[in-house]
Amino acid sequence: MSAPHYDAVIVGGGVAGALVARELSKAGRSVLILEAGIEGAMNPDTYRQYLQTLYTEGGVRGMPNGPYPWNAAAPSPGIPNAPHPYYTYDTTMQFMSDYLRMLGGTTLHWQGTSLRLVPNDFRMQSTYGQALDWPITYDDLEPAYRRAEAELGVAADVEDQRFFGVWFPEGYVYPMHRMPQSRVDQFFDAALTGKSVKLFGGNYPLKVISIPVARNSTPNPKYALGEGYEAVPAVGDRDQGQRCQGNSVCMPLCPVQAKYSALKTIAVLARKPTVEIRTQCVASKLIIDSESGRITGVEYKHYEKPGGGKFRVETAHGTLVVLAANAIENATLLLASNAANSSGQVGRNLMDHPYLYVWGYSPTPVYPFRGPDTTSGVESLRDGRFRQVHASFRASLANWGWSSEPGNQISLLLGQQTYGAALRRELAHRMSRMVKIGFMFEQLPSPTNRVTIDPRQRDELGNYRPVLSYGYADYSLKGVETAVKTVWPTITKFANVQDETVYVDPAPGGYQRVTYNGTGYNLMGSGHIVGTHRMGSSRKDSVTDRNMKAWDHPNLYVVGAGNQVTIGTANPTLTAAALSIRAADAMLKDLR
Amino acid sequence: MKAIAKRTLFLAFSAELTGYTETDLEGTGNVDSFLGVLEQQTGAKAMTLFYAAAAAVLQHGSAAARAAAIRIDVLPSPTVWPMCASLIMLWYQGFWPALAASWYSGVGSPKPKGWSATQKIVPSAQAYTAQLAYRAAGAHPPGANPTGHGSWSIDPVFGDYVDGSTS
Repeated sequence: MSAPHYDAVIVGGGVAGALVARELSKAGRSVLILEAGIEGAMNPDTYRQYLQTLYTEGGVRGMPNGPYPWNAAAPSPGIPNAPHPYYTYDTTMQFMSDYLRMLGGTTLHWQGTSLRLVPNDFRMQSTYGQALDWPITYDDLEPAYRRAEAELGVAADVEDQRFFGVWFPEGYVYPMHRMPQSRVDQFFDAALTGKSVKLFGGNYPLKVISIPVARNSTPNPKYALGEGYEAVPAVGDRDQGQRCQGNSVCMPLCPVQAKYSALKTIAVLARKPTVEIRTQCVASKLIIDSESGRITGVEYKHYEKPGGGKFRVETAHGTLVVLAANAIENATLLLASNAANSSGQVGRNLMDHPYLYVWGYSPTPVYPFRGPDTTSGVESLRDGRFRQVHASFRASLANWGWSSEPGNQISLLLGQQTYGAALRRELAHRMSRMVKIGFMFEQLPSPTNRVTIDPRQRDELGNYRPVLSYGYADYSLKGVETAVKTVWPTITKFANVQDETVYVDPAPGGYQRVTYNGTGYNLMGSGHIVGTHRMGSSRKDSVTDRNMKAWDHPNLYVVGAGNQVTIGTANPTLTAAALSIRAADAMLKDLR
Repeated sequence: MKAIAKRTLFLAFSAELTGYTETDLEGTGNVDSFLGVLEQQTGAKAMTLFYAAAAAVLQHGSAAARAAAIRIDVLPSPTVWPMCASLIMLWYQGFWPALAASWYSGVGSPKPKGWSATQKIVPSAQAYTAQLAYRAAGAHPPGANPTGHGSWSIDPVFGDYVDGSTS
């Protein structure tokens, strides 16, 4: 008996792969999803075990991959108590962001922020003389953004989101109303309305805007021309997750699954006869016909037990092959297969949003540590003439005080032998006024920020581990400087916030120290892994065409945030989802 | 000392150390579990000193007199105060931060099994979900006891926060 042949073999069961599978299967096409990780969170009992781990293992709190298990057969970066790190490095600067290799992928621990890119993000070269233009524009991607917002279930009000040329068709509303704004948001909104900051000769309003999130809020009855929208509840439990109930722990997991994860899409796919999902199958090599360049098969290692051990090498066959395994894993697999790399761009242009916190005390209580981690931001610095010289950035208002744990304050107070009613009173006084803003900076594509492979660096199954080279260019760091030395002082002045920001040296765990113009900053990653297989107008400087088909292979698509030419200042999942949907449209044309 | 007397003393002294009432603490369901952690992490010798200090404090009827007793019998003690500090953290954050190696050598007790300097012992999920720190601020532990859709857009409503009077 010959192995089954699928219309498409999709590598990766995260949001990009799930959305491609959804579009193809809707059109009646047969699909195989190969997921490297375990089924894991798909099982409601296992999901609850992860929540239990969050409760009972003190060391995992606050880590994006905190409760998820190490899997030697398909390792992920950032797993606590891992026997060794997953990434290896070519440079001293570390890449601070991680992802999760498990069915559902990194959407299990994402924040849910679903901002669109702004039009100038697609044309950085022609507008600001930086980086290069995308082969598509905002207008090209707009319809796919709407489709992604439908599947992810995005909550936002269109009126808030029209800025920097972001447009919506007449009559469009998001599936759900915007999330209720926190007391923190209300405080900054009241303090900053009508205020602005001067940058590069321009005045930029410090307007507080509700953030679109893929998190269940109140469905908008006007959605889809009055059809309305039904919030998607938890996988395996329809009785919970229909609304965000304010568990205040979006990362590393939403206890009730009010936040979208790819599991919600996969749960529907799993019931379709034309979709097959195989977990514990790690794609290790693309088999290429040397004459036609076609991918004739995907070789993968199917391991028996979660965590590794014995495995069989098998091959999957599809008319189309779709890599949707995350920007770093896509690049690693392409490099391992010596595929799609005639441009030499595979693995290059690795980008993330360098992330920086500032914090202080508000003059009156704002009652943080409640609600989703962020419900509003200042979006007015995401575009402007200053991008000729430094990074754009956005400011996310944090709803959880200075951190997810007030333990540091308790330690300080206990160090002063404060106890009893005085401790309780002082802690309440401090915690109720803690404000924090996270600044997220644009990073330009650089050929030296990259993923490579090294035959000496392999995992337990013999697959390549990613070798990373990474650093921050002055363009980003000048943005950091502007945020800390110009924007933050302006905000503290108008909001009468007592600045408590200190960047201790050496940087604490999870941060890395960067010095710019004599000032030290502690930066972290955003988990926004972008750019390793960018799309382009020319096969000379890009890995895929504008439809995310590899230039070098007539039946290979590479999808996900790795397609982004620039990172802009939108958290990339929504854009990755929209790009995947756009790619699926092209695939359906190929399959005709 | 009888077990029941020990528990009573532990609970009353915990109330003194945390600023929450015995009823509040009993309501967490963690009294016996936390007493077990304290005993297991410190040993019989230190527990004798702990109970003696607790009794010395709790014999006084007025809050001012108890506070004075704590200043004399608890805060200066290199044995009892570190125990109290870890115990307060256990009530407030749901984990027991390991006592220092020097504490064990000072008391002359062996370190408990599995001890490490940076250890945070979480006795149960309930220790996490009932932690008092967030309650002090009118909030709730991340991932537990959520307050309902949109509750974050108004001031906290439960009474504990009002007692904390932060304004």
